[in-house]
Amino acid sequence: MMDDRFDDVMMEAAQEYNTPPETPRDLMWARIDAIRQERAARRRQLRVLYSPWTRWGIGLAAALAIGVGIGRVSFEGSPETQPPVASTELGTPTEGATGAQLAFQLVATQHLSRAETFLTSFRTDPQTGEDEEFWSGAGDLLSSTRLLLDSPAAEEPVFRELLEDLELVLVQIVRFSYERGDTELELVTEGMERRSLLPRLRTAIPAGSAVGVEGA
Amino acid sequence: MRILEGDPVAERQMYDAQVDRIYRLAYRMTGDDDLAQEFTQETFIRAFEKLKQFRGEAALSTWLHSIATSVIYNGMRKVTKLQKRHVDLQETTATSSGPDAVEPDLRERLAAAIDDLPHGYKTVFVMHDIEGYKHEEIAAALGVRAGTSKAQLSRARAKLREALGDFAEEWAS
Repeated sequence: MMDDRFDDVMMEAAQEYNTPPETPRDLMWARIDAIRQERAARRRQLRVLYSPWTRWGIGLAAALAIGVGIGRVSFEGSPETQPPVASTELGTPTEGATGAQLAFQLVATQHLSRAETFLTSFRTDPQTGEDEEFWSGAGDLLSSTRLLLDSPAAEEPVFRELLEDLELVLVQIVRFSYERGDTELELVTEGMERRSLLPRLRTAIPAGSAVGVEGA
Repeated sequence: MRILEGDPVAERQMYDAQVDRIYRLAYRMTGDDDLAQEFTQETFIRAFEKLKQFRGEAALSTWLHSIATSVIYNGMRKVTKLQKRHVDLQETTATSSGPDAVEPDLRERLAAAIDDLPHGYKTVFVMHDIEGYKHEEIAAALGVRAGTSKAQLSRARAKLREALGDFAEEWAS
């Protein structure tokens, strides 16, 4: 009875936690408008500046950068590597595809393969102990995912959605690596299941490329 | 929907309809006006950029809140200087003199205890017990089941009760 009363008092006191002031809606709208205009102008400039050949160069540079970045993620037991094979899921090298598109398809395939391997390892043993290399892999994958989200590879809506879901789960895993709490673990595993992330990753990865990403 | 076609008037209408709840949530989570404004702005900017991907499977406000919780979560991780309340526990205990006198101290201690909750617990507690969201709304925003939201709220409350154990004892005595 007294506990209930104390709970009531506690709840009443909680209402004063970080009491918000009046919403500065016009001020924020003006800033939102300005930021959107600035970003739109920047995108227009980029479209004008980058010819297909420049984009191809950028694609290769991104491939190298991401490859180096996510190359730090190492998983035991699969030292033998084969070159990744792009296929229809993320785009087999199709007739008419530009060099930039091919480069991004290749990078995307590698990235998804690494993510799938990482998440499978995580599901198998979420409490990977003090293996800092493993956890730094989550951070690297998160960075690479964000790079890809900002790249032309993410212009394809289904792929973009997959990357966004992957980003969210990786954020949760990075968080889990700091706190190692049951709640964080629950959020990660439930997030993965609800989004069917692993099956979607496996579907998106062309057959034959899964083991070909370790040595990138 | 006009908003999906990028109609600026419809965008402003959506903003007006949702901004209070998003800003309030951001402020409750951060306790900082600048951060709350920044996270609110980023939420709407991302939402407007992603509107074409909105599949209509959930309500627009639910979708917007899923963006907001993600923005707040990621934003808070980057913030290194969040205002923290450090209450001298010895001092507050010594100056408390009974149920009628505890409330100011209780508020301070409770605020510190909420600050110290794990992020997931804090989000659910703030959304449900302070801002009045339903478990279904919280679950949709966080991408979990409603049962998980309920379980986390229960654990959050238990942690707060534990943190304020000495106050509860005073109430019981």
